[in-house]
Amino acid sequence: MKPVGLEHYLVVSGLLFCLGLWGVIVRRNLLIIYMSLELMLNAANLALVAFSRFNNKLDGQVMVFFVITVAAAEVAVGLALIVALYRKKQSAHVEDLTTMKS
Amino acid sequence: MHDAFFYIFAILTVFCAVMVVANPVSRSPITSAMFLVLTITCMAALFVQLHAFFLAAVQILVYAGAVMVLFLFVIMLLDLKEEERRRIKAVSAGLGTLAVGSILFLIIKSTLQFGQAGAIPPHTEGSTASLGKLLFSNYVLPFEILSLLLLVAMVGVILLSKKDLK
Amino acid sequence: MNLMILELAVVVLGLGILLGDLWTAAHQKHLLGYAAAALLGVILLASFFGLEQVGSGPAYAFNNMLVLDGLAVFFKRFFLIAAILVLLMSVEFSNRIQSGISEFYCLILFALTGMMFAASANDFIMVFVALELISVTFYVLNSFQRNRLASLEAGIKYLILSALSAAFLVFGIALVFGTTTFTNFADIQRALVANPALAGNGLFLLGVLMIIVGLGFKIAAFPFQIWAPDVYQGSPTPSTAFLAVGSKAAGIVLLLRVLFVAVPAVTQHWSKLLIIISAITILYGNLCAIPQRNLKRLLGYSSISNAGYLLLGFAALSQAGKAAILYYLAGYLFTVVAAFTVICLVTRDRDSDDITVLAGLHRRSPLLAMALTMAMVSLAGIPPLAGFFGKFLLLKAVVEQGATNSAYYWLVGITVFGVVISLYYYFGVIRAIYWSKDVTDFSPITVSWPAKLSLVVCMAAILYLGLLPGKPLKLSEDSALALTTPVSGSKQLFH
Repeated sequence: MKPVGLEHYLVVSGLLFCLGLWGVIVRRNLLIIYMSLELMLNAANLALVAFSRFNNKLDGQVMVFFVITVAAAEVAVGLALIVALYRKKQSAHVEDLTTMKS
Repeated sequence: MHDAFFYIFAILTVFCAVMVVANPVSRSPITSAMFLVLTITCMAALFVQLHAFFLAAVQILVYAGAVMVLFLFVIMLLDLKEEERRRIKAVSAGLGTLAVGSILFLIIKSTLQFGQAGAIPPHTEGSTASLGKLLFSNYVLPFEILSLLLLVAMVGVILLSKKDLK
Repeated sequence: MNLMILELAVVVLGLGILLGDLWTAAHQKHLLGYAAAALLGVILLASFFGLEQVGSGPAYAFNNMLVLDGLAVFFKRFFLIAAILVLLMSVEFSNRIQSGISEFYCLILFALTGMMFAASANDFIMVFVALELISVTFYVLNSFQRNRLASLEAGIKYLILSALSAAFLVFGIALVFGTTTFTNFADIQRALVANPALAGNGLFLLGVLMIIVGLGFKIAAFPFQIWAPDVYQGSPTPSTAFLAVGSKAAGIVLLLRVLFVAVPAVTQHWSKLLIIISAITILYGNLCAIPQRNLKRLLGYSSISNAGYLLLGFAALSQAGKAAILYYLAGYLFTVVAAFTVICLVTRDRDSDDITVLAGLHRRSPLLAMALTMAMVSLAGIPPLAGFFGKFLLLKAVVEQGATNSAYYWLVGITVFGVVISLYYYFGVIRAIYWSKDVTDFSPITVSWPAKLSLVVCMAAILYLGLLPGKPLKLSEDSALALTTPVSGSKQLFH
């Protein structure tokens, strides 16, 4: 078997990214969709750290640091929004977001 | 030895991620959140394998510690029991799987073609000191902009969730 | 430090508004908006005196992360003007925001900061950070009327789709960083020149594609436009206006820099992709706008079709195309802000944005009727207004490329077809103003003088950009010079 290299990490990262994307498309619960989005960001983080290691450059890790910070801020605002919607509508489902007809 | 660690944690990570989005037993957000915590922890182990020690710690502290606790807290606050029953629509699931499958195919195919890795023996160490130096020299501007972003998030969360209007 | 003095001033102003709120009596809080707009005006004026070093070529700072060149200055002024007009509109809107009006102003200022940093971004990490500052601010701005369900829904939809696009952007940045080992635009360009095989590397191309997905979301280009109609309809009107103008222009300037500074070699190969996206976006926006009865939703679809028109300039791949993008954006700014200001004023006392609220507007307030008519005529691309000349420049740039690829002629045909369709629904709005049968409400609409001023400025600018295009065209051509691709790639090494 080949020794573990960059490709192995990238395949794991690609799998996680696609799992997250699948969750966003298919799941209907806002909270689970939001968790899937976190999964996608984490996948990107794994790719960044792996590239950082194999390119011998720390810049990728700095980017991961920024991504984690932004994700934390986004989660705080996003969850506040979901709670505000739930208070108003008693639901956290995408299918119930139908106030505006198309 | 290192390789064995990688395979163990990689398989665990992917398994837990599958459980987050497509748990065959339970559709409850709580189980998803718990599995996401596990995914993140396993991923921190992968970070350690890649010698990103500081980020591994941040991953556990910020993601598993703060972000996921926030998720669990909100789930408990909302009490989402009734919604577990809803079914996933077959058509959207099919189309989604198709689209995601093709993207996955693209990623894996181009990854395997890439194959430049292993040429140079890596020696980057993501220690706190080296990362901190970089953060406060080359990357000080984005760092400062992030502080503004955190302020915006703080103001926003207060506005969105304060109880009384006026 | 000198290079980001404008951004610093805006941040300080934002913090000042946040603090000033503490010492302002509740019934006077909405007046802080006038103060913010006036001080932004001062900053705008100062930008004409403080940035003279720009004439001598681009200046770089913070390890080349920040660039100040003609393009950056053009867009910084663009965003400042947009924010001033939107702030004036927000004051008119303040009675519909139950609490936290000064926070509304301050969030507009912070979003403005993000946009101005985006105008100067020369590194993918800056792109990510600036875009996220804009997005997170808009999550809050869009859902600001949290007693209205529509506003909350708009916020949630924007949140989910924007976070999705951010995930694509980060993954794309990861792949580009991994394959080139750089995140800086100039470094990536040099790496591409030094190693042409990179432009054919699957992983690198996938990364660029994902970055384009992330930015395409911001400008609402097909197929990332799904969010636009709902979010435009549900958000508070000033947020919608700022989203339509500021956020879209931020996406455009980043797309310009990424496509023409960072990866010009790839862009040359992808002209077909740009042509297809542009054509579909134009058709989708115009066809879907036809049956709309809600004014803000109508403008949402119109904004999608305008993203398509702007992409024409990208597809042309020429200097003329880039200059035309800037010219078109300038016209678009004043047109869209005028339209939203009128909508904001007309719907002041009612809860509906339906097109019927316009009935008899020319008798209730001739100024508003005239402003909205001019905006619609300009959007429809009828001479002699700004929209016509902008579309003319874009089409001219595309036709000039026709010799290289006949697909460009098809693109022109589709665009003209789209413009003809758009005549129908834009004139539907004008018809609703002047020729509605069942007019019930003749009460005159009082318009405060700052709102009048902002409308008059918009109308004057629409006329000026349509009738006297000489000077502004020169300005946009000069600004677009920052995007010239150096032949050897060595030219930018030594700045």
